[in-house]
Amino acid sequence: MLLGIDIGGTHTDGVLLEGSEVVKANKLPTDKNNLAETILTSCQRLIADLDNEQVERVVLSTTLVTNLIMQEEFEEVGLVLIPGTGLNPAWYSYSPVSKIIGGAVDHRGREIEQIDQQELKEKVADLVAEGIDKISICGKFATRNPQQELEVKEIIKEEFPEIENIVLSHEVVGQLNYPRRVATTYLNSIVQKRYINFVDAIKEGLDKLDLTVPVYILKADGGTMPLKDAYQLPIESINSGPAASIMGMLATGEIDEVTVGVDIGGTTTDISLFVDGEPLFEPEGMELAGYQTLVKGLYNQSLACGGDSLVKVEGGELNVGPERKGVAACYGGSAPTVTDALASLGLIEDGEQKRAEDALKPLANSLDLEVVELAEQVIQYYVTEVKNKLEEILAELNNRPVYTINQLLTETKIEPQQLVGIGGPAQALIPKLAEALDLEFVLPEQSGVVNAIGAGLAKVTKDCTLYADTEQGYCNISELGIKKKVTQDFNLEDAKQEVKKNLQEELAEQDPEIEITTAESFNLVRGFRTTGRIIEVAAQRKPGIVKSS
Amino acid sequence: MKVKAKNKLGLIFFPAFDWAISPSHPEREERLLYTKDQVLEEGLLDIEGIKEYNPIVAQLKDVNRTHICIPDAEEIVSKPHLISAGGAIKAGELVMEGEVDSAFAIIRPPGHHAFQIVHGARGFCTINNEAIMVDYLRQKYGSELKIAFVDTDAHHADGTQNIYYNDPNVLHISIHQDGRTLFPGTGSVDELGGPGAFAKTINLPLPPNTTDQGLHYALDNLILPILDDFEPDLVINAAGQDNHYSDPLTQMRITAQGYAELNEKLNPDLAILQGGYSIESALPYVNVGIILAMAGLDYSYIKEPDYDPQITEQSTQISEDIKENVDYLLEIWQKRDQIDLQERFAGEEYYTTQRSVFYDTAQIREEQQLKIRLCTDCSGVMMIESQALPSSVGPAKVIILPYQCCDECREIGYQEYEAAKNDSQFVSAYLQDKDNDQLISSSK
Ligand SMILES: [Zn+2]
Ligand SMILES: [Zn+2]
Ligand SMILES: [Zn+2]
Repeated sequence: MLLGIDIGGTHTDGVLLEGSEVVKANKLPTDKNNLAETILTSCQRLIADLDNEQVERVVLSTTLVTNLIMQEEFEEVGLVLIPGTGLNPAWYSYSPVSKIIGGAVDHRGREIEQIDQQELKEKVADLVAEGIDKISICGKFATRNPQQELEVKEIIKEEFPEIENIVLSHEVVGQLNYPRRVATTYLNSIVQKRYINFVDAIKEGLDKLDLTVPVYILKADGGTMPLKDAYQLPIESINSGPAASIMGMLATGEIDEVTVGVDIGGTTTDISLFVDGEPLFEPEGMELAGYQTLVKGLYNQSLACGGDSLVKVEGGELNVGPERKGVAACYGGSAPTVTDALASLGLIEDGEQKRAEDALKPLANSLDLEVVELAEQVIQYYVTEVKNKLEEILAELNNRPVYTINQLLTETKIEPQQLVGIGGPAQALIPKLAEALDLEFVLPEQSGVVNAIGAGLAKVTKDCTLYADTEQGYCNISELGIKKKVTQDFNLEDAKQEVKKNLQEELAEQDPEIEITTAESFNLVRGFRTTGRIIEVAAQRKPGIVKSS
Repeated sequence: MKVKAKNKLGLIFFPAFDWAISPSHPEREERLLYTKDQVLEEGLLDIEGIKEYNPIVAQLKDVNRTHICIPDAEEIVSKPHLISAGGAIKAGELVMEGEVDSAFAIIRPPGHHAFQIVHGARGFCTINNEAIMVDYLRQKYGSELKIAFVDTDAHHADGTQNIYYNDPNVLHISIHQDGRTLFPGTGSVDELGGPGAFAKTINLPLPPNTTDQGLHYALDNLILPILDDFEPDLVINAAGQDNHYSDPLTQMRITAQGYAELNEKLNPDLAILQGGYSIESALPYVNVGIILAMAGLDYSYIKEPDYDPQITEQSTQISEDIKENVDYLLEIWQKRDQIDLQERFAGEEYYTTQRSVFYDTAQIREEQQLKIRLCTDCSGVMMIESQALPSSVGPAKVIILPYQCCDECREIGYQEYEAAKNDSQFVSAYLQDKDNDQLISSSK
């Protein structure tokens, strides 16, 4: 059996799953000051009448890293940047204690300027004098050639024993985009210590419960990572909330073809997309607290309008959201909301219709409408908001830049066929939304704990990029720390095999399905002669739902 | 924390990674690979205000508005050409619609060696992307639009010059390595435009080994003052990058800083990539420099790996040669309205000339007999007899009615077309009517 626990801002949901069936579920208030305690309580209740042997694994979706970054509760980490030529490095000197040093690697991974050891030592000495004991090292094009990052690390280790933790950008992310790599590496470093403490507290707690099963952490990409990776890459766990919800829809809804996912929350509506029954990724990395990162995540766009959004009349115009004044009137709140519009039409089973009507009445009067008419207009307003947002999303995604003639001429457009909806008022709202969008719709059962189900059933994911330059005779897979020599005849097919083999070893599972997401090979021609190849292959174990025994 | 551009910049970056003229040709798949890597690694596309767009695919109609392809556009033009031209059109539309302040089309193949009449590819260009864009914009937004080209490619922009040689609403300025030392050989200071557009063609040949100093001297003392006078609605930088000191095909010594500063001063509405074949050592840095400059951002940290500050120094002889040409051209520009065109173009009713056009890429030689009507009411109907060798197509007669064509020129043009249709001398006849946006043709 599997345990899935989703820690949200206000509630923590837990489920015990047998196959994909929910055997047991609970909902607890989240203790923000002690997330580990909340998690352990949830676990304890779920396994109460169980033989612990029956539990195979636990997956946690937590907001800890997101919270730490949003609330700027982190430690000072020194950034050592090797930017070489390009943008003004002040633009991405994210740490208040950033040092820029000489040295440079070019786009083909060639060292074009050496590290100045003297300069490096002086600048690190300054950091040490400021009390810094953690350093992140980020070199431009380090994913093409990590040598300078490694060299700087060696020098710091040798000369400054007081530096206890050193992180290298090429080990955190393997793709190009230096400012994002710097941000990702930096954020990873600043939360790492607190995160390790948190994970250790959970492990200790689980030991006390006598639950010695593997623990996994849900990532933004809808997959999980084992704790050994979570220690190294806590940043991967940001935005796991929306990922849990999307994986939950995948597990509980019947999703195929092109599907729009709609998660209706209190003040927001999250929109996601599935193509060929698989969740779509954010084309760039995740963004958090103004930082643009390279953390891979599932596509999700938030609309500032949800079930508890306040309905109001301003200057004779109906308006909905973005503010919230507590729960809906039909649930005992004081102000009219979107949910009340539904309740007044008798569409919310557990809400009090009369209270909803009373809350809407003054607004209806001011617009010279019957309550029923106003309610319809509120719903219409909400539906239009979602529809516009969806159109905007599709326009953006369908015009993604492409770089080959073949793609430009053949790329198929994303055209949704169905809608899957979860969240409080989904039952009442989704049919109306589907009608407006002219789509079929699915309403999963277990709507209340979908996120925890998504977490509980998510597979381990991992991705990496191989870059080979046969003229220079090397190939590397930055994230896996692999750099090896290759011969002139190393080709695209060899590269694909190499990536698959290494990713398979890394996943340590029986026959994980690995997908090649990029495969490019360019002939290098110098003086009318082919002198080598540049090959880039990216591969991933994509997110999916485990079929448990 | 997020970097915000001062000017909104549209970027049409289309490296056409699956297309080459031939496997080892400079116009091959690899050309913009390192530029892509540099643009991605710098994170340029994350800057607020810099937005990437896909090209559209231009239509044959768009080609026929600018060119006369012989035997026809279907025969000459392929999808990669239409996409490259479509990249330029997209850039132009973004600016005209006010979606961005300026746009940069990093597209291939280039266009500036493609003439009015097209028998095949020359100088790696088949159709003229920027001219097709300009004519598209004039068709959509009004033919009275005033356009200024500043072509900074190392090679003379003979194609664009040819297309607008007699067009008074288009100012074409080309600076290039002296034609006596480089393909295509033309672009001397005395090529100044036809009778209908005198001094709207300006050529400044630069001596080999000219550096940033010489380029910026020309910009400050000739180009910017002329642009101030002309007051164009759109300034287009035909942004060739083969002036770079590392380019294998030329002998110029411009740096990435020199290019970026040029774009900062010129502040073009549109930049369209032309040549540039130092694909590893120049293009990644030059393109990043131009993007930052156009977006109004700090480009001072951009430097080639082998940059040496002395690279900007040039000999006094070079400086003097440039100054002499600048002074000469500036005087012509200032006195352009006082020059007696009847005398200069020494004709009765028609100005006639002939020329030979060599298609280096397609290995074709074309002989042209050209007649332009000296007209006081419009820039004058143009008639060209064209014969290309080797070619499977026989001699052709081409008649071009300019924008704002007068009734008399129009009538003459149509009469000439009818006559050519029945003239056994010509295998085919074409009439391009700019005002009515049509190309008609007949062949035997
Ligand atoms: Zn030029
Ligand atoms: Zn050129
Ligand atoms: Zn006329």
